[in-house]
Amino acid sequence: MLRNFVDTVGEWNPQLFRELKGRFKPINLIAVSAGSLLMQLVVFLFNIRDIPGENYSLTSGYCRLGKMYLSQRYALEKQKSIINEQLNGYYSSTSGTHKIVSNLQTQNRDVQTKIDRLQEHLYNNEICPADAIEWQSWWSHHWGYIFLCFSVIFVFILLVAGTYAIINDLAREEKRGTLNFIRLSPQSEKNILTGKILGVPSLIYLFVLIAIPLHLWAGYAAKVSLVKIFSYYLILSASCYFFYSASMLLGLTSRWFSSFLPWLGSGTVLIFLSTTSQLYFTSYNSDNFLIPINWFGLISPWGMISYLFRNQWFDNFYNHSSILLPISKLEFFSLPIGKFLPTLLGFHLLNYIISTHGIWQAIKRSFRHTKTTLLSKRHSYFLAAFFQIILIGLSSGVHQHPGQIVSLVILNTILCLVLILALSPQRQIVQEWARYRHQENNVKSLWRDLILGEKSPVGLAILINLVITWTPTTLWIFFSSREVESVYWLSKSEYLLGVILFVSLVMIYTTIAQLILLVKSSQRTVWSISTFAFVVLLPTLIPLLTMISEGKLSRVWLFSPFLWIGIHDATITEVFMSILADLAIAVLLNVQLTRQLKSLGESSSKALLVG
Amino acid sequence: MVKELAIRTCGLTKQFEKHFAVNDVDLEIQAGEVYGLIGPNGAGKTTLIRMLAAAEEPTVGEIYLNGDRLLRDRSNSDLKRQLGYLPDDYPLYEDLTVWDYLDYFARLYYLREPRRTKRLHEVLELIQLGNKRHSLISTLSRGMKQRLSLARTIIHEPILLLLDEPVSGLDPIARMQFREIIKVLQEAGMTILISSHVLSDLAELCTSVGIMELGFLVESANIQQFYHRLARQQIFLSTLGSLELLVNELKQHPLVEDLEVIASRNSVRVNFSGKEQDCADLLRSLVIMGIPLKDFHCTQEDLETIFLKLGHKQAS
Repeated sequence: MLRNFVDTVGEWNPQLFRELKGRFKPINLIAVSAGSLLMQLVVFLFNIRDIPGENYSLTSGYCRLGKMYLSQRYALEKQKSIINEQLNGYYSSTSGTHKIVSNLQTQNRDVQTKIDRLQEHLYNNEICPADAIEWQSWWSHHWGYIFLCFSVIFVFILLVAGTYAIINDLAREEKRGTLNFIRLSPQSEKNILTGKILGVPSLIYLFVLIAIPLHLWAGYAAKVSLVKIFSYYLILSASCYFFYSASMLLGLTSRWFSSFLPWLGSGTVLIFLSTTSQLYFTSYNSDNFLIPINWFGLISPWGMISYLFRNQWFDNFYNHSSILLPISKLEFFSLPIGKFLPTLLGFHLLNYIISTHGIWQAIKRSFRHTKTTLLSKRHSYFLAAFFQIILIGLSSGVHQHPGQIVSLVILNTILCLVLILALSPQRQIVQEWARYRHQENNVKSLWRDLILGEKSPVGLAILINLVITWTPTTLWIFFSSREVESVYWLSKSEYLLGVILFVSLVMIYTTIAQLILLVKSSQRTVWSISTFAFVVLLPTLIPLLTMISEGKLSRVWLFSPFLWIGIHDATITEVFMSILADLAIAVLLNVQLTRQLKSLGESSSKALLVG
Repeated sequence: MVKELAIRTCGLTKQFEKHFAVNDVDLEIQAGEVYGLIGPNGAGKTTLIRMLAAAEEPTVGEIYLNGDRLLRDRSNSDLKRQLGYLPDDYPLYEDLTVWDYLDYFARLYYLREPRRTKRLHEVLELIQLGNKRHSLISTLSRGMKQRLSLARTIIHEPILLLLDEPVSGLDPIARMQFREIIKVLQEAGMTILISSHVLSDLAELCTSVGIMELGFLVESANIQQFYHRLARQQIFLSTLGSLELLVNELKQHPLVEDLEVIASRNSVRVNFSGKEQDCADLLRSLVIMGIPLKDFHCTQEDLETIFLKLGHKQAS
């Protein structure tokens, strides 16, 4: 039966066929099935470790009698406090109350005696009678715990182990050289890499699939609605597809330290999941989702899982029904996305689909052309625009949050720096552009080539991306009712100067990165990244490490991408001088770049004649 | 009738830094030919073959396969179905069996049942690995792995086969088996481009030959034309009598260019510029002179001698 299944699958996707053939061997199947069953047993036994037995105490949570005693004690204590209040009233009056006081004191003693008797019952290691145990409620809650345990375990196993498996497989194929044969086959990139995503973690899928019946049963027994359970599966599948696609891109683009890469990738996912789980499971009633940095929260499945299973999580553990989860406050262009399950689910899925689609554009490029840039210039403009929609959409809700503009500015800064690395072409590509551009059949205009060309240098494309990134944010800040002072207490004019300073700084970074990528060294990518990191981090680290926030040294911030911190302390003249200095450096570097491009584009005969 | 061109390149160039691995190559190979590509190490053979197989992007130039342009930025799905490429290294999936490995590649190239199973049997029979079909690839010998790689290359019945150093590192028996397979494929009508350092193999297999040097294609011709233009006619003579007398007689003959004495075998090898009739006249004159000839036969310089004679020893 298994053979037929693999054969049928192979007709649809040959790569999936290859992956299943290599992995679905009897020994692997037995080991995975046994492992999954063992995991289910451990989870089950762990959760029912405190099942009520012969010595089940009267004060334990599921003893009906204990609860009754407790409610009686509560009523008596209430009665006692009323009597005490009355007594206090009579004590303060002067006459004719002796008899009433005496009566009340007798009542008080009686009540106290009853309370003492109840206390004795409750706390003298009294055992709860078997017929007084609330078995239905106990099982319902504990099935809930089991269900939650599986829901959390599935996320960790699928995302962490799956990421490791995919990066490791790609690194191994690349090392052996077998991936080249697949590249040369007539199958599309999409077919091959989808086959890998479905096939490489197939044993992990099997591990989880074997546990699904118990998960479903636990959900049913805990009275979790099927809609919520299948919404969970939908989110889990979408997050798997997103993270596996990202792993695939990492595996295809990083050819250094291939043995370390799988650990790096899966370790990052583990840290990401752990951090976001803290954020969304424990910090309830917070405004986390009101700042745009929480786009990262949208790609973590925890936000949605905490929303779907809040009854199982919060009611059971904290007995707290009035909790408002951070994700419930999620707004997008003032639409209350977080209020309803269908909108929240749809928003999550849409975000996953668009983000994964973006990653696949880069995957397709990296798979066919191993030396090309990560993104095409056209894709980079779409990416920048997509981020602006997401970031401003997440920031422009009805509720305002002091972190909204700060995180918007920081994310845009990081986006620009990432785009420089993703778009800068290597020496070989630029050389071919400089030398043979005029020989191409359909020679495009130089401007068009610099804006959209595959091989042209990156400067103009980064400038366009800067415009796409900063124009909407600036307009939004200027024309919305928000106080721009929340960006490090800046005035609007200071903010505007900051944007100009930032643009000139990024042009310096871009030219430096491109110049180093043109260096004649096999390690030029490493050099480029190191120099880039040095130039970006040094002016950021100096003030941070010296802990100087004020005074002359704080001007160093003006030369870091996070210049917003320093701009407030600087005088207008200093800011203008910084802009002029940056522009002068950018012009000088670009003159050098142009000279180098001309030299690269010279024909060999010209070099011979001149030399 | 002029045959259709299976491969045509126009100004094909591949530049790494300032170094031209392939320089302005205009290659034309007719359908059905076995084209041998020879040249010293680093002459650009592998780069040229990689570009033809779409494994490497040309810096400039155009490639046409059976008249269709090969464009690297497209998937070229139809063209790739016509191509079979065997690189000089042949990585394999060691965790698969021979059958599963070929089955996988047959599926990658869209072979459907029942044709797929039939083709797998045909190919296994051709490479003589039928009895090993359920063995894991990791257990095969080097020669078997090489044959399996060839099987992978031809599983989808390509009409154009690109073989880069296919017999390097194989023992004489494995080489002979490989040669026989290539002959069968040639008979089946495939166009084959093969690069090799074993020139005797190429001489036996090829219908055309090209020589690469410094990234240029410096010679490209039909093998008959090639021999006719570049190979000198040689006559091998052995005598039972005096070798000195034979040598003196030969030196006086106007069509003898130079000669090489093989004293150990009492023989002489002569570079002869005459035609067949002139050979017959020389034989008759020597017999009349009373020289007791034991052996007299005409040969041609082999491919290796021509290659070395042309002085193509310069790597790019």
